[in-house]
Amino acid sequence: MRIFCAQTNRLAFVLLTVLIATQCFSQTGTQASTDFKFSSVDLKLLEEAVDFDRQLSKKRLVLQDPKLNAYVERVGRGLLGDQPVPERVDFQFRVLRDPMINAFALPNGSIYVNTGLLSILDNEAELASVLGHEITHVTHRHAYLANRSMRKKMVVVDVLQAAGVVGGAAFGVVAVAASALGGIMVTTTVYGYSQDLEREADRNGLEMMSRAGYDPRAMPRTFELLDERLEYEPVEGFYHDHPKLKERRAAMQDLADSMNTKGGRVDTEAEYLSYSAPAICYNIQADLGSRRARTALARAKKLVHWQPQNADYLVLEADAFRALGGKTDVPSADELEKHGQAEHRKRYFKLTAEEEQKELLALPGGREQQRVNFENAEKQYLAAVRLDSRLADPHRGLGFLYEDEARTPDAIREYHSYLQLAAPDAVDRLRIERRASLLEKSLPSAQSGAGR
Amino acid sequence: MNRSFFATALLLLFAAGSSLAATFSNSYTSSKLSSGQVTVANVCVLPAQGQLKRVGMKGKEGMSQESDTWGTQLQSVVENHLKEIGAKITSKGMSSSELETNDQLRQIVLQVQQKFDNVATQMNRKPKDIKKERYTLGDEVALLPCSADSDALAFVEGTGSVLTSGKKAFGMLVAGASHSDASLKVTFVDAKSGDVLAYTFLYNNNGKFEQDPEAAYGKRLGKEFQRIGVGPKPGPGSAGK
Repeated sequence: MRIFCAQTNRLAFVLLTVLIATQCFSQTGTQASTDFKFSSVDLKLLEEAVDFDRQLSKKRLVLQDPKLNAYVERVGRGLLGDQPVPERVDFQFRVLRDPMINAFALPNGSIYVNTGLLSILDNEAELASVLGHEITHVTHRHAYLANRSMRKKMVVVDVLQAAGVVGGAAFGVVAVAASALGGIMVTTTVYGYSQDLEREADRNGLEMMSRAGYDPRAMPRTFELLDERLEYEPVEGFYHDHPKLKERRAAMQDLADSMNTKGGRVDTEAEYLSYSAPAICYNIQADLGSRRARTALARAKKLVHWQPQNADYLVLEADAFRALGGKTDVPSADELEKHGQAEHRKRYFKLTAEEEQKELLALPGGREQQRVNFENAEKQYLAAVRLDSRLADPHRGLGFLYEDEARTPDAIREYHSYLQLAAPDAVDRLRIERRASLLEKSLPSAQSGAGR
Repeated sequence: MNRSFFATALLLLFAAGSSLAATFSNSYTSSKLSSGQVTVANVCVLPAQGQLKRVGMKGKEGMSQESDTWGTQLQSVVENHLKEIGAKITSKGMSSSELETNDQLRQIVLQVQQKFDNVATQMNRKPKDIKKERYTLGDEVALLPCSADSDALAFVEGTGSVLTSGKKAFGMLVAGASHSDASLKVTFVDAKSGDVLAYTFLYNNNGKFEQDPEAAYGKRLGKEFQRIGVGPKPGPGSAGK
């Protein structure tokens, strides 16, 4: 699928192979056919799909949030309407815990939307455009068609291998899981079809959402969102490189305009966030864990903008500000240039997160940026404390912040506040106890007492 | 004449080389561990990641069931050899089946694994820097319940390619890989600070790694563990920590 995939792997050779392959081996688009004949190869693929479903559930990568699950299911079913379900397809709509901006459909009808993708969308119509696109891959048997192309399989196995090699840093968790499974199927379904099949999915998806009463202009808007560049992308993906994404966006804009459907349903961002917020919260944490503080901050700001009085969202925003350290919240023009990207790539692979921060803080600009980011973080943590004085998390964040700023007594005080307020079985109790104890040992006894 | 003789000799040498079974290993230890500043007597082994691929003439395909089984076997091999050198396994409640039923724990394991994957990006490029204590996962490792009773966490990863007989024959005739091969990596991380303490890499292409991981890795693994200094330090009247 890969249209909805903005993060990518980092190995240049894979990119090269993939780009050549996507140019050379395009499968021909099809109409949704009822006369599709299953060969033994197709049945094997179907088995692999079922197995992949099982593995994702077993690894607990499927997000379990009843309200959100019901919402995605409702939007998906709404798009399907009363059209006949193809043979050997059982449509299921699920959300995956994966910060990669991606969605994919398995040939058995399982459609997965990653938390990373849910986080960038602004309304239900955009979600419908994603699901419409994915449903088309199933109804038009794209996975089977792509699977019959041996060359394509080889290419994607290489992609999966690369995912396995570099691990979760640049790839999402599903990529790593897929690489472990290594099923050829995951190939095409997760990592993209030929341009023809993708275009067919765009076209049909747009028509499907229009029929379901959504504003079709949400699809080109979704492409626009996919073009967001907050973080360094090690290597561009199959379809994310600018000209292709821009071309597809323009094509869908023309098609949507030609439909002349005024007043299609979009729904507000607030309505959408009321369902997707748990996925966004999860995703912010995942972004913070994978050196993507800018993305985490952008998503947290979205939540805070929606509910400024929500202390949990303020804490997430503060965490993201703190994680930025000496980094700016948006990339500079230089970083977006080709040479800037190359430089960033070099540093990304060469330096650990800590070393990268150290390098930034060696420069006056980096130190100043950290001061600003830390100031913003403190402001948001304190605002969260004011909103909910019984919430433990902002105290933990303040403790980390003050420790980074070498304000040891303040850090100790905040850690103790956290330990008082947190549940007895809080997962990070031990971690905070250890930190507090280490800091106390580092202080002269009089100060240590004051810290408490 | 001379040229063709050398070319033939080179080809034969290459063919002979590619058909030889090989096993080798390498380890890196941080100065913290080698100096005795920390002891690794209690180890929490995280669920092993096994990843096998079948490589045939038509390409590669996944072996999900076999990978799962192999991962479990590798974990047992690692645990057994740790026990052999006197280390205590503290991974209670961390088995794959237990993680399947405990969502919170599963998410914590994923979080720590993600952190490890991030660090592995640099570590796999320059494992020598482990000696300089360059790599750390941070104290997030303390989120794992087993970290309370452990000196170290062990991350076990196995990756292997299983060649079909056709691919093996092709490899022997046309030069290229003619053996199935697999590698096993075990990384020890300080359970408190998250610092990487030691890393062991074992390679094997004798083809038995899938059926009998103990025979393929066991002996060498035990030696490597002793070499990097894992296990309780013999002290006067004490068996470690």
